[in-house]
Amino acid sequence: MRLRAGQQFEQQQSRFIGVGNVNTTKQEWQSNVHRDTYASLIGHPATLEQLAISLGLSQEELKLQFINKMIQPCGPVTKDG
Amino acid sequence: MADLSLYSLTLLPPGSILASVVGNFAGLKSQELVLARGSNLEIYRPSVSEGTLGPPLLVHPTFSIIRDIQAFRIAGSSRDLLLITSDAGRLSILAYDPSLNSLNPAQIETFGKTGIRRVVPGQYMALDPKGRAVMLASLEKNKLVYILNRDDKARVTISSPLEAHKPHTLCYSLVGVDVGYENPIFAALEVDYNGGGDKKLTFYELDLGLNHVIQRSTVIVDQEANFLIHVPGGNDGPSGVIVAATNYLTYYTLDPKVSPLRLPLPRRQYENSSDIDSLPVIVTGVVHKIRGQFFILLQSNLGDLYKVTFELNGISIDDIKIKYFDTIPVSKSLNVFKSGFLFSASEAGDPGYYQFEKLADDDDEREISHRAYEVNPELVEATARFRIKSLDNLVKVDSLNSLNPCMSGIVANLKNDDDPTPQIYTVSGQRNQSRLQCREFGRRVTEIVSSELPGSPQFVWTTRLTSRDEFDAYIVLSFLNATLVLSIGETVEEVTDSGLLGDVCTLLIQQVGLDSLIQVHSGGLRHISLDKTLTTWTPPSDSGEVVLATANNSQVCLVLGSNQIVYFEIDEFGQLNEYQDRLELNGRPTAIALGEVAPGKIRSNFLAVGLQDSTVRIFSLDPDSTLENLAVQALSAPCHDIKTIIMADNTLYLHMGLTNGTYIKTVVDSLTGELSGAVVRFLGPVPVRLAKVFINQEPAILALGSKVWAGYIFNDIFQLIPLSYVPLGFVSSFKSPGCLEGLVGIESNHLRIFTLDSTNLYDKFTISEIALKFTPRRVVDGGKFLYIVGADKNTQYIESTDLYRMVTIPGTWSSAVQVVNTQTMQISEEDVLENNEAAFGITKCQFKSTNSNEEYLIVATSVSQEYLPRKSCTKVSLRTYIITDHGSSLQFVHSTTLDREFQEAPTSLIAFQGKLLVGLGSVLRVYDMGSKQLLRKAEIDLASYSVTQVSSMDTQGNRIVIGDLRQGCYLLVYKSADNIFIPFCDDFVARPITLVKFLDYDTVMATDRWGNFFTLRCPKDVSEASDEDKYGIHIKAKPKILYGTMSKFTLVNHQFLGGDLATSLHKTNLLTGTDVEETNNYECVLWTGLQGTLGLMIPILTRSDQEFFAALQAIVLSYLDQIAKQCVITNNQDDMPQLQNDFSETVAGSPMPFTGSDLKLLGQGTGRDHLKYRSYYSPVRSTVDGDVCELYLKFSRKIKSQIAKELGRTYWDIEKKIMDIRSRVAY
Repeated sequence: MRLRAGQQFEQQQSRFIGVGNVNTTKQEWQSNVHRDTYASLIGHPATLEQLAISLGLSQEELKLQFINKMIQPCGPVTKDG
Repeated sequence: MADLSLYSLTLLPPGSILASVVGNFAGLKSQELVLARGSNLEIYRPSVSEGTLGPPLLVHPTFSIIRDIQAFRIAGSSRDLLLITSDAGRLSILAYDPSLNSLNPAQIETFGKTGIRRVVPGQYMALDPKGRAVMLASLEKNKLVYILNRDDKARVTISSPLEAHKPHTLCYSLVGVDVGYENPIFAALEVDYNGGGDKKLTFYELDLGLNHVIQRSTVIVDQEANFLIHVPGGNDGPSGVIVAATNYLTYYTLDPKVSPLRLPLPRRQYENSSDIDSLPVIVTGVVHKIRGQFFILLQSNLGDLYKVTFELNGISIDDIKIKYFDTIPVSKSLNVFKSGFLFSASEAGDPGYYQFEKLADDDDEREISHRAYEVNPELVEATARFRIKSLDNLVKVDSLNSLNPCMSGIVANLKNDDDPTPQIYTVSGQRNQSRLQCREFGRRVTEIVSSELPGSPQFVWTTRLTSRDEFDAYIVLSFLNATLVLSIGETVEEVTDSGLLGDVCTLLIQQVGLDSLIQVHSGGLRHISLDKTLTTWTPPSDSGEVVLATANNSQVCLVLGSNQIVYFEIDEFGQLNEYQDRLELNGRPTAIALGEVAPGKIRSNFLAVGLQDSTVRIFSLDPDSTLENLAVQALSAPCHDIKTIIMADNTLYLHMGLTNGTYIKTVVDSLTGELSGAVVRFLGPVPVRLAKVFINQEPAILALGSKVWAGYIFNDIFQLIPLSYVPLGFVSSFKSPGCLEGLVGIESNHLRIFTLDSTNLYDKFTISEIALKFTPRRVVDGGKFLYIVGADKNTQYIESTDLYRMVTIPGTWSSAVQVVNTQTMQISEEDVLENNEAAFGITKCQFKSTNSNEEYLIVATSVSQEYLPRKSCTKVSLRTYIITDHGSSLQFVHSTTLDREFQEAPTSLIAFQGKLLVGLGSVLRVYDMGSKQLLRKAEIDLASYSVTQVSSMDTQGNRIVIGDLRQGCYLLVYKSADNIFIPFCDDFVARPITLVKFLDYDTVMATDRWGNFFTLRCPKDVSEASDEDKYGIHIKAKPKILYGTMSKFTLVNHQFLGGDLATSLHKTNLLTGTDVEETNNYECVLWTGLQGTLGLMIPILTRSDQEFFAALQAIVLSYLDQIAKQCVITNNQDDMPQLQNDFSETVAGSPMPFTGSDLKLLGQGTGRDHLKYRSYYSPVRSTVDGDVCELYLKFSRKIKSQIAKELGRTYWDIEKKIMDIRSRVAY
């Protein structure tokens, strides 16, 4: 029974990004939140436009910067987070 | 229920373009342009001959956040279809139906969750250039491929999705590779964040035989690559993709073994060699094929266009060349038309429409070639420079008006003293697109002639001579005791042989029958045929003179002084025959109008007479019941003028202008003559005269009061819009070869000939504008002047280049304070800040301590402001100016450097009880005027109440509301006895507030940075307690709740604004302004949105109206939903019976209620649930979407009646309610 639940959980984890487990570090969790935030900022047209204006960039440049930040939003992966 | 209920309405739809596509959507020869503008889809058909974009054919509200649109064509089909992804988590295929003028869905496919999320596909959409498949990608991981096809009946089909997911992979760009008719291939620019972080170009191949997507090949590309564009393939070119990275382009073929071809981007060179730009980044591009050849236009982040060409040797590539083409504003997307035009959906300002003059084929611009770069890369890179030039290869021929990005606004009447209607001032645009716009309600007119006359004419008519004439021949001016006839031709000359009597005051001129004219004057009627045969009719001596007259081509009615009506008809021989009986009226007629002769009829059946006893009566002119009274309606005052017109919707309307300045439009039942569905508008305190004219080839009405109002049906909705012109006494329409829709009017002793600009009937505003120096940040008004602060990051101002006034230099700031005279729309004063100082906040303030009425302008600035990775600056100051010369100029007084380490300039500054109140981070500070600097008088740090960053403030009495960028709104009370602020009410949830304003003493309205609008109310007992004692002992003693204040707001209204972010809030009435003395003055909220929306929130006054509008919204939405569903079913069903009869049953057995013209989708179409859309972040509360309600007006008559029946009302009643709620506060 427990094995089956574990399997289901793993399946969920692979399907849905951001599903954590007991070993999820703070950094992993934070990275996930940051990635969600950047994706939302890029995806909502008005938000992207507003940020691009205040930063003095074109929207494409800002989008590029934000996706770059999604690679390692909280710095390189460390063991203890 | 005492709570506020709001009706949201869009006054000006958003202008920001997310994406634009070109295609043959109508299946005609012409190409159409589809724009995703805010949440609307707009279709334009540019005129090739005139080189204009023209007005939109269709504006389709989708009620969803659009993510991307693409056009595709199924092989063998003659028209393009539109693919759209939105926050519905659905892919929808829309087909444009030119006969219905609607976008109807053919397929709606669900692929993911709603909302805009990291892993829900739809962020990117790439099409196979042959239209066989589409790939949708999310920012991370997910990619789906749909196969598009057609069935044997040429209907579009869509497969179930094929997955090409790749975990931990971020997607930068996605494009369909042109491979001719081989298996479709998509190229994606990706980074695997767990796998080293290299940027890779991955080709995905859709194996059509196996119905499977495979990853074909992967190559590592430039780490700074950001953009992909396909290169034509198949028979048209070498195929492959260009990867654009910062400063470089690299061309990749599908074969990973072939080495890529690389070349640098040319860079700008300035006069001053020390001015160096950042490296160019390609932001958008377009591929264009002409006559077997092709070229690619790419645009950089500075706006420079590059032309990329390939030199081919059979199928192998000899060389790739790039050269500077032209500079236009930075675009979201570019589209090239077959007719040789370019559309640029600019990020800021008006989207431009350009014509290609030449293709830069043989100019002396330096061309960079890959071959040369291969041989000597350093040299080529060092010399790849160009000087920016004014438009050379392109000519700007047209543009669309766009308020995007609207940074702030002011609603005030700064212009007219005699007219209370306020203007809407907005500061919008970015960098050299920055401008101040003034929008006045009213349409612009073009004056052709204005000439002085010897006297003041009473009336003016234009007439043709025979019913076959296309153009008018005479202008007839009627003075008190004379009539002047002028001929229309090359020159306007007096005519003496017209046969018209010249020494009487003419009451009416009308062309009747085939070729005769009638002239009515007080002494009788003259009937003049073309050969100058004259028949006269004089009233019997006991009946008095003729006082009123009306006529159409076949009927004439005269009113005599004895209140008798004489009726004539013109028979087929052109003879005038009097009807044997005269109609005796009980009261004195004040206005009379004959109905229009409907096409194919010989007479009008109705005569409308307005009487002195404030009634209007309809009489029959049917031969069986001539002059029988059919209907009576009581009015609020006697009629001053009446007109009956069959308008664009083929309905006979009775228009009435009353002596008390009211205009009324009612519908005349074409059979019974019954009057119904009155629309009433008060136009000003002047009796209203009416004129029948043509606007856009459709019959329209002009109501002449204190202004001239034009009433016409546009887009299925009746509009009544004033003209920005002098008030006129009488108007007639005027048609000549040079002027097809002219109007001739009289204003005291002036004759004026003018036309209405019919180019854009959508716009109800007359716009005047002035360019501003920098991206405007905030604006305040002071009497006739506006004070604007503007600041630009990464920009340096160059005096010498007039064309592109700015150079992009990272880390620099340019900023200025500008004063604009709203009367002349000119800059009267400006102060340009130096040394990277930039202004962000501004307010106008009077200081009580100075004991003078002098007004000061306080400007908040910071030096070397940075936002990322975190906010920082070297200095924050408050610059004080004194306003002199009645507001037109500024005199610098002093600058106050703030003592603490604040990381950004304050944006919230307000005048507060004769002092200045500033929100600095979590600190509120009161300043007073000093001789060397501003003096700190009071301060409170609200960090203990969780406040982090005060973004907005407003004050009323002793009360202050602040909006915090993280925690929501706080109410504070100022106790002057102790000179302290006490927070006493705050928000129950954390909201990132951007704007906050008092609605009334206890209620605030606010917007947050995600685009929600809401109103919050302070509990009554708390409100009273806060004002109770002088020292606030009671509220100070109360315990804090949840790290906030002692009590919490209650939420009254909440609505998602539809994707736009509010940039300013105003409480106003757009018709009468904010007149405190007027007791019956309804107010509404006007908000300006970043994307260029002007929106309204109108309070719904009664409980029954609240219920009515909520029910109407629900029922309109359910109809839209049913129509959309039926559209998809109709497309998908194999054997649809020919739907001929209403409510015919389908094969499936489900009823198909919509047929023919009813099957026209007025809104939605992306599959988004409207309720969820308006509840995007938080459930919608006590707010009705007026944009949905107004769609009711556009339904067919049948659906209108059906909905009316379900609501238990008549459709005139519903229409009236919808019109009334809008016209009470706005237009």
